Amino acid sequence: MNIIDIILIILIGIIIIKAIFTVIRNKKNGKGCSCGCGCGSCSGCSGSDKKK
Amino acid sequence: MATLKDTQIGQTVCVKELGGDGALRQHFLDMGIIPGTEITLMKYAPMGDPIELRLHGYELTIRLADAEKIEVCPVENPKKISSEQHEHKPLEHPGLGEGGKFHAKGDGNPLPEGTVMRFGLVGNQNSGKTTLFNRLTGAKQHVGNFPGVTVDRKDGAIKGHPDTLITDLPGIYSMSPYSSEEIVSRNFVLQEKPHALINIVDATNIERNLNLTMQLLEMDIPMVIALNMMDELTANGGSVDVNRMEQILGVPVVPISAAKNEGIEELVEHAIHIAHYQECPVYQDFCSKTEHGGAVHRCIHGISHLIEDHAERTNLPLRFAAGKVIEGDSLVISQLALDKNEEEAMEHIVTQMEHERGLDRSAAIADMRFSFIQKLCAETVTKPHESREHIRSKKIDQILTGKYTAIPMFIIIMALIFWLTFNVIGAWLQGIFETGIDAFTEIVDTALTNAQTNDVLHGLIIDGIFAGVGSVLSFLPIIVTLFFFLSILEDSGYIARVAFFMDKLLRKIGLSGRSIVPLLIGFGCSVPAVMATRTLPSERDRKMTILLTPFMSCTAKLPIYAFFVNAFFPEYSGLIMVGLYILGIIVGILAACLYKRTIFKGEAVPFIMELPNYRLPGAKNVLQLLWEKAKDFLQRAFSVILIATVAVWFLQSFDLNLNLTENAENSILAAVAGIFAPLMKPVGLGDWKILVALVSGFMAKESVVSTLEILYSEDVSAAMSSLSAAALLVFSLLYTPCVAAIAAVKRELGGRWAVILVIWQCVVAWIISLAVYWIGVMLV
Repeated sequence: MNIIDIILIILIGIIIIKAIFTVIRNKKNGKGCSCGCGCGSCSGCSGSDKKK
Repeated sequence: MATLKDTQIGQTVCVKELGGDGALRQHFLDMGIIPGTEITLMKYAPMGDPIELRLHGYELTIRLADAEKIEVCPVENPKKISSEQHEHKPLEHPGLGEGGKFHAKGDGNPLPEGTVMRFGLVGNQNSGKTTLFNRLTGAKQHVGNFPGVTVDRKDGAIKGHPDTLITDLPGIYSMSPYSSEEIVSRNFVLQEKPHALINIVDATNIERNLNLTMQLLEMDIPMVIALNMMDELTANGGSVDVNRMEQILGVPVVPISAAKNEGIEELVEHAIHIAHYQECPVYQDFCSKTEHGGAVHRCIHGISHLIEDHAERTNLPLRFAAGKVIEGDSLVISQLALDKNEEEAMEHIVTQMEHERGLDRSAAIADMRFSFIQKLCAETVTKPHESREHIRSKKIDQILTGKYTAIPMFIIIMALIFWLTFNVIGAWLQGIFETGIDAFTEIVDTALTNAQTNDVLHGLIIDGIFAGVGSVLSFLPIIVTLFFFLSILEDSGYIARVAFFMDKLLRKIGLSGRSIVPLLIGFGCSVPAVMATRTLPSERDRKMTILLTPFMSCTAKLPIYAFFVNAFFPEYSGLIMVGLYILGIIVGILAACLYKRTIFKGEAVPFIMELPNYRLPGAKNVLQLLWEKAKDFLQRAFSVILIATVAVWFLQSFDLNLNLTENAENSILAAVAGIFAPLMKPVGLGDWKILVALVSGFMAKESVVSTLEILYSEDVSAAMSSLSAAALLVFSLLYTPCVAAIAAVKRELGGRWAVILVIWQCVVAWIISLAVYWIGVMLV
């Protein structure tokens, strides 16, 4: 295993972890955008429908 | 007795009596169909039903069956729209909401420092609330040109005022909600008690819009009126005496044009002032003491005294509660918890009012409001001559909703959209994208080989990530192109016309014309389509439409179609693509007929819809939507799809002992998927690789392609027959929607329906694919 392999492993690791966090964040925030526009401020995006 | 149904095209009649009952009747009253109103019949829908009416200066569509409930008498000399300027003495600006009116500047009883001021943005449907919200907050919410684009509340702070929170609410016609998304707005005003309301009023359709204003004034919440679309009104010769209107209504009135960003600063200043100093409307009492013997006036005040203590206890605005009690609003009546004696006394008062006024309770209250509005408009509004927008709309409608041209034009428009998407613009852009991605993959592949990277790592990057994510990315242009055309349909106002002329057809399968809006949006994405069903006024129609949405092929399935069509049927690509869409629609129609005869027996709810003027879609709005969709697609490609491709690559590269395996047949994936593969064998899809791809499609439909790309490292056309490919195309079209769509269904209908939908779609997909496969076997 050479230095490029190590760099690639770290890089791919970061990309995958970031992807997993994105999925978890979307799921936590009310399973995505409830109005479908990806606005970030509707009840689905902000999770505020839990309050309703 | 003649009814509205018997009216001839172009004839103007006067409403004598409004039949029907319940929420529908109340909705008619809220839309301005009250005794004494003049209505002109504009046209019949191409199939003879529904009809388009013009009243209070706007267009409304209703069904013949409902028109039959409205008794009318002919009008000899219909009222002409007058564009004469009113002569009024110049009036000093009342200065409401500007400091110094209710208190000396810097004085008063302001909210404590640091309080976040909460505003509600309330108005009729399609009055420009979201456009104003975007202006106020700098947000980029999607706006459209049909009633009911906003189905959920959205929050944001006013630009430059971090201590504010403004909520954009779904449009409502009155405080008596008719559909589920309207309840969101009523509950917000009643339960969340915002510090102030911004009531947006469409100045080009002022009479009907002010009906809601009158009811909001009764809420006793500080309020400012934003007279929107003033640019359009003045351009067509109309005007509003703002000072006089402000004086009569007792709240600040600010003329604005949200689309042109005019008057917004002034509106913000007024809104923040009234919220900060809690300046409530000066007047709430608009009933006339002298009109019709003051019957309605005495009734409202009598009831107000009767329920005053109950209203205080339950924290309901007194005047609002009194009005609702008279109208018979069961929610408010039960909330007030009146005792038997009070209920009886109340009933006596209301019955006496009905007797004296000669109208039933709901009509009497609606008439009181509209009488006041008419007097207000007569004093303050110079009506415009027929607007350029309306003249243009009428000309366009001669073709797009014409008796013999509407349906052919709809088919031509849809065919043109699909042809341009799949064969011309989208396909051309996709080719460019594909070439770019292939070239980039080649460069990285060569670089990794030259750098002598580890074989496993090399495989993960090239055969896993690049093959999977890259294959999905190349479909971005097709998806964006289809969304572009769908947004043009939405923004132009055409989608409301489609609902108008498709109503009769949809009624045959148990739906109302309004269901066409979510179904058309479903061709883009099922998530907003499911959300859009909130505009449907009946639970039955909502459920049925939601269950039919998955049959409308969403754009995420396009990569699957394109992948297989290019591999197996390249010479018939356009035909098969369109064929799949048509198959989805046909199966949807069959499913609707089944639902209508089994779980959703009964008739669709009445069709009452406003027809907006056609407008040229704003370039900024369309580009914004495309950017959002592209961003969303890219985010999915680099999150869900990336994870899925890496997971699939790992599971197919290692065996059960976690040793690297050259032969995928020995992999973990083959071992697990192989158990379930026989289920798909009768459909010609018995290969475990296909099963894995379909399961990954539950996360995101595009994953089907990326997974197949990894699993079939050799040419996929060599690994399966054309018949299996056809069955797979049909199965992909009809099987369960993705997890995001299922989550939306769960939010709307509950977990039980979501599970039922997943199972039902898989069963339908299996049966239809089986039929396709075996018909193919017999023919070949």
